[in-house]
Amino acid sequence: MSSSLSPSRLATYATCPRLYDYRHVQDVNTPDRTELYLTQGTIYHETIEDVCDATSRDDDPGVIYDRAMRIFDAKWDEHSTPDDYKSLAHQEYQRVENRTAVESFFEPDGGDGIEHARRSLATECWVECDVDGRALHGKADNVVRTDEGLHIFDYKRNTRGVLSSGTAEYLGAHLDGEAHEPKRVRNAFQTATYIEGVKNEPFYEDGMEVRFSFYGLLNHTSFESTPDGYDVSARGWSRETTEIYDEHYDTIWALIRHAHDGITAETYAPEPFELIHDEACADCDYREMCADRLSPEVRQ
Amino acid sequence: MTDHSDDYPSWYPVPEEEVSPEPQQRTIIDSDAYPMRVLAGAGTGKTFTMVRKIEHLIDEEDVSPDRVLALTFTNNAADSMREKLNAKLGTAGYDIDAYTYHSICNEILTDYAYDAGIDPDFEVATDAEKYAIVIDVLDEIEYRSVKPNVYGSDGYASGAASKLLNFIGSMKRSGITPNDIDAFLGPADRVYEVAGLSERVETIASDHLGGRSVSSVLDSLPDVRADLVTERDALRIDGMVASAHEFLDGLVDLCDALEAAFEAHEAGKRELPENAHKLPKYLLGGYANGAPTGIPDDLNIELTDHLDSFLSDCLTARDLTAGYAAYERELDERNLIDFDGLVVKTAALMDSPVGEKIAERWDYVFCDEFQDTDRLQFELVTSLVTDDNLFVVGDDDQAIYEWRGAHVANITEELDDAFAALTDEPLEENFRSRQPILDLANEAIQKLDHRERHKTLTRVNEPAYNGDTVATIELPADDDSDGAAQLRTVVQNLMSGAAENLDTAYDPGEIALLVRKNSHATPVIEEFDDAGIPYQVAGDLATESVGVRTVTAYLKALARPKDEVSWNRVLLMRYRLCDADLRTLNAGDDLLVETLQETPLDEFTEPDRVAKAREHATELLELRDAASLSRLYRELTDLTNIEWYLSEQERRDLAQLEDVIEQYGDSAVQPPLTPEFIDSLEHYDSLFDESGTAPTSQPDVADDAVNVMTIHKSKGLDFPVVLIPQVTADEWAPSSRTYDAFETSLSDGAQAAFAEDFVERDAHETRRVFHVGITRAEDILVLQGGSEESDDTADEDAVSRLVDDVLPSRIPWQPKRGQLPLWTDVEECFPDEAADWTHTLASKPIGNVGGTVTHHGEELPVETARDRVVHLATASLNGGLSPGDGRETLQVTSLSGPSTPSPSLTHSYTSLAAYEQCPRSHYLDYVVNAFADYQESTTTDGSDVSQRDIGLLFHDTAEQAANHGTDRREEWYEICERIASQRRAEDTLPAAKECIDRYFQLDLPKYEIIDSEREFELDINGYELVGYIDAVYRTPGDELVVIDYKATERHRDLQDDKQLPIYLLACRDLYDKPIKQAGYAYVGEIGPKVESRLFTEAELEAVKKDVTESMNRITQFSFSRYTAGEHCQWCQHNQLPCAPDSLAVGLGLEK
Repeated sequence: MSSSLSPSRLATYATCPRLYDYRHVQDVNTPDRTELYLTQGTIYHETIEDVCDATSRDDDPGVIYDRAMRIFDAKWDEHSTPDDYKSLAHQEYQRVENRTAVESFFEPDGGDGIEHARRSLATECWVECDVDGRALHGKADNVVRTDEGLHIFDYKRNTRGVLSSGTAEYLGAHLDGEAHEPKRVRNAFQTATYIEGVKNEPFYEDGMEVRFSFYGLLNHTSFESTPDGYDVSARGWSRETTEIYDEHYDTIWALIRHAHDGITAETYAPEPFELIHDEACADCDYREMCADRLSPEVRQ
Repeated sequence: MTDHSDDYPSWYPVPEEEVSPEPQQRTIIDSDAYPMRVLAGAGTGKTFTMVRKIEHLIDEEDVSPDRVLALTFTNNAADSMREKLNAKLGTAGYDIDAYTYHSICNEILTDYAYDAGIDPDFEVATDAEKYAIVIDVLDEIEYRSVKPNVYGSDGYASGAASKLLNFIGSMKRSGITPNDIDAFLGPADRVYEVAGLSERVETIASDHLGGRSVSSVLDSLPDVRADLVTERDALRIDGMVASAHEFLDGLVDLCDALEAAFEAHEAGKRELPENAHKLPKYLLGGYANGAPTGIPDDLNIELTDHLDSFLSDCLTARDLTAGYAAYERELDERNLIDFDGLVVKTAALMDSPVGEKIAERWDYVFCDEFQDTDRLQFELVTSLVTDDNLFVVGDDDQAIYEWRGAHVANITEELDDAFAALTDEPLEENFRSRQPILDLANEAIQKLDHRERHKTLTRVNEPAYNGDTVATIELPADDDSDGAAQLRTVVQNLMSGAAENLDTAYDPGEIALLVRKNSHATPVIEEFDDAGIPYQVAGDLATESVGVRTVTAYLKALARPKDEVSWNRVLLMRYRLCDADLRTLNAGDDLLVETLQETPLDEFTEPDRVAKAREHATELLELRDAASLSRLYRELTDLTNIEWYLSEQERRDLAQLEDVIEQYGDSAVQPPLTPEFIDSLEHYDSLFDESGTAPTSQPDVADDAVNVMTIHKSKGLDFPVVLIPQVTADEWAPSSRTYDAFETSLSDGAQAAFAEDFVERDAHETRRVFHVGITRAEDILVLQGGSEESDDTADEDAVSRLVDDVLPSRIPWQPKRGQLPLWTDVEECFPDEAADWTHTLASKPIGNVGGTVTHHGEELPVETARDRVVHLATASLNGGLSPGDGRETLQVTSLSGPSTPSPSLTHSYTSLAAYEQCPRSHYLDYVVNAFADYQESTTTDGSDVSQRDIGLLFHDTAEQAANHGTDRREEWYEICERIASQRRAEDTLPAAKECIDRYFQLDLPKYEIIDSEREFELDINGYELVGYIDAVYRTPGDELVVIDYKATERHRDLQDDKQLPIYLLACRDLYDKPIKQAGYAYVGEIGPKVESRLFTEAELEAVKKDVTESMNRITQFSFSRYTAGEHCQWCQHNQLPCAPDSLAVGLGLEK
């Protein structure tokens, strides 16, 4: 029985096995990076979590909205620090942008968040599954009860570049070493883990339909200038990947097995090297220390 | 650069009798007409003429040197001017005030600080300080239309900090203050009222002008006109609103013109193209998606775009002005003045009552490169001129800094307006380029419309030559191809010289790759890397070489010890730790740097390497907080010997990093290494992209590598061969810039905002950039380019002609603006001699290029051989080397081909002495510039100050003291302290001061000093011998004596000495009067004493003969001959088997 892995770790391996080695095996510290987007993620995740936990099925939308804004303000004060920003103005701008996104999400008149909160079964829900002897685990942001079954939501800043029916074919290309699509592979890993994992939860009943969606809270933002300052608006929507999972089930599980087995066997040599080098090195935090990347350069 | 007799290195003191001015130059030099303007073409010797004119004033007109002020742009140019004047006038040359346009401001402000209302101890702000201030004032910006993001997806480039820096730069260069902007814009409410204007005009067009025929559109035009008039009349006429008013006025005129044209059509008096009825709506921006069917896509003349971009600049400016004002306050508080501020404050001072007094310091003002001056510098110059005694030289055809504030009209109309009695003299005789190159330069620049003055460059005294002069290369048809491989082949062919089209072979240092933009250089550099062609990249082109990044990583790791990526990089690349040891260090929860310091060495596979890394890291971390950044960097390089791990190319690249480090925190005490420095290093490129390219900096030129630089950087330089890549319409397309109209309306009045097409102006500038590039070439100009076929239909052309015809004259924009068919134009201008190299020198190596290597009986090209070496090395590491492989050596048959010329040799006294001592060390150090052996570094604890550094500090102090005519010990101390502090070499100060003390115990300080640190170039029987003479003194008995300072402990025997006779030989060319006496002044511990003697002519001739023989022998330089001895202990190559065994230290290499 191998150890249990998260979709995020599997995706790191799919990005580059050496990256996995540096990040998770050797645990090499990267230089201080800008934390602000990470912190913002924490803030809206915790806000949604707390709102869902505090909301019951028949709460009034206005009450939910007020609750959400109150929680957001508290979370912002708790987590956001001026140290993450070069100016207070930047911090304030980000606060307004995030607040608007939460406002729009919990808009009493039709905001998606109202139903997400009312029908939430569990937030930050730890799920586990084991398929073909490969154990996976993860934490689902929100599991919502629908009329037909369960709908799992993963909240993100935006869903740009998220796996879609148009791009699902790249999964196979990644598996064959013809393309490098770690982000979409990651989406597929998340979909698989949560859909299979939630079936092991006590609230799952046989025959329930299980769906999975990413929700981009800031999918659309706009900035409007006025004589007195600026106005920001933000709006979100979801992107469902359930069907893609069904259609590409075999490919996705082959990808999972490949990454899982590689990690278990401690195989970290980047393969296919050229593809990974061209696609992944430029954005990699470890590029400056990576012997695999540096050796062809030194040859020059 | 070249051996042409009319061309000297810039430092070389040109003796008058060797170069006489040409007639055009002579007229200018002898003339006493002031003010005078000389429009001088490229390569016509304008600086030479200016220097000669100054000499003439002093020598012939008895003008006192200190009454002459000479201004130019770069420190290099100012120094070279001073050198040249000094060469002719002796020390009097140093009395002339030769300054850069910025340093004169620094000088004036320091002298008149009280009058200027500033603290006399002000410092000039560095880029790093400007960056820090901008970050500090970000919260002062009034964010309305400017997004508060400091960084975005592309890093800092599009963030608020970068916007503010650019805005301040644009405004300050034009002398526009925050108050000016406030007054121009008025309150935000007012700006926002006008801001919607372009959209309202578009709505008017869209509402009225949708008719489908000329007649229906004609019917609507009066309504449009009326609406525009209503909009216009609602505007008040002041500040930015007046500019908008002016714009609407133009549109009203346009309506009238369109109406007239359409009426003529309806009356059957005029033909119109098929889609003419769409034109009014299009011109007024009424189509939401740009040009409709029937109007050419590339017409590019939706007029409302111009209003829109002006208004959007006004909105941005409204926000940023508060940040600008705060930035100015911060500078004041920190007692800093930025580069532009120097000129602003000086111009203001000159405008005050004290201005006249300042101007009275000089009777004559000479200005070089006047076309690059900005508005403020123009004001400054005119305020410094008294009695119209102004001499201005420049070239309007080489004005390429308009985009960063230079005001080209300064050298034309502005000067005409300011000085009614201006005399013009031309300089058109060129001494640099071959005539076909000049023909092309003349023709290409003729294509400039509105060119103010016409010059035609003509070559004089052209030496014989048998080869191509102008060569063209057509870019490969493949869209993705950048043609870099073509240039690699061309350079290889130029270096081999085997092709018939070439007169000779060229050294890499004689070839320059001059690019329009950085991205043109990148692919070519990669090809050079691949082919092993040495190159040097000038300042503003960032390179990312592996070795430099390792050095940077070391600094990062020291600044932020938690940055384990950087530690890993250093451990891998410098200390060569193996994977197992790296894993050991990375394991566990502790920080790597702690694990490195604490883990028992026996836990490592290669403990020696880890121990070395530990020792270095510990020492440098301790030093980090105590030492200045430069000192730390110096210790880092000394201690770790990291340079030894760099290739020759990487060492060149490292110089850029060193520059940045030198410049950081340029105040009295340089700060230590901080994370902020690393920050500024990382964001440097994106923030200071612009300031990197200023007329104020000129790069150092390599003489042993292909020089790669932007054309902007190449100004004032020349090269035997110039390559200009990617000459295409797209790659050279001009673009409009932010704040163009905004800045113009603030400087020249609201009406000026829309009086000029700035893209058209930039297109002119682009042609001038091209002209500058072309005229850098002496023998061969290689142009690589291509053009695209135009697919316009006849009908679309007709629309374009109609627009041309109908636009009122007050509207400056033309259809298809911004299109610059450069390659098509160039093709039209090619001289008959132009050769097409596309299928010859650009496509295949001619002759034996690169050489071959034999391995296993197989002849391999160099690149294959290199791969083979790497393969064998890998195999040996993996234990996979077959026994046969190990024994078979690689035989280098030839590495550069038989036709490559021998390395050119320049001799100096030191190199001759080295040869006498050991031919091999001479070969390694002076012929092939070999790397020094890896040396175990000696740990420096501060007490170990090198004799060489002390000597250097003393020599430089003596030089500056001589230049300033200083003869008091205290003043020498001051100079010495200043230099030591600039170099962060305070540790050598006490010993250097002792040298000064000894010097002042000698008689020398009482003598008159004639010359110091005099550089010479001596021709002995065809050999070149160069060097410096420390000092020439005049004794009380009116005899000249050459003195060489010795701060060392070694005593010299005057009888067998060769150094002093060489100096005396050099003096024959430098002074009218022969010098017979020379000696050593010992200021080191064995001093103080002077030992000198007379050298007879016979002795000098004997030394000359001796030296000639020596140099004859050196032509047979070789690696194989050597002499071992005492000197081996100081030799940089003493790990070779030739050194005595007692010296077999270091890596323990098997000998």
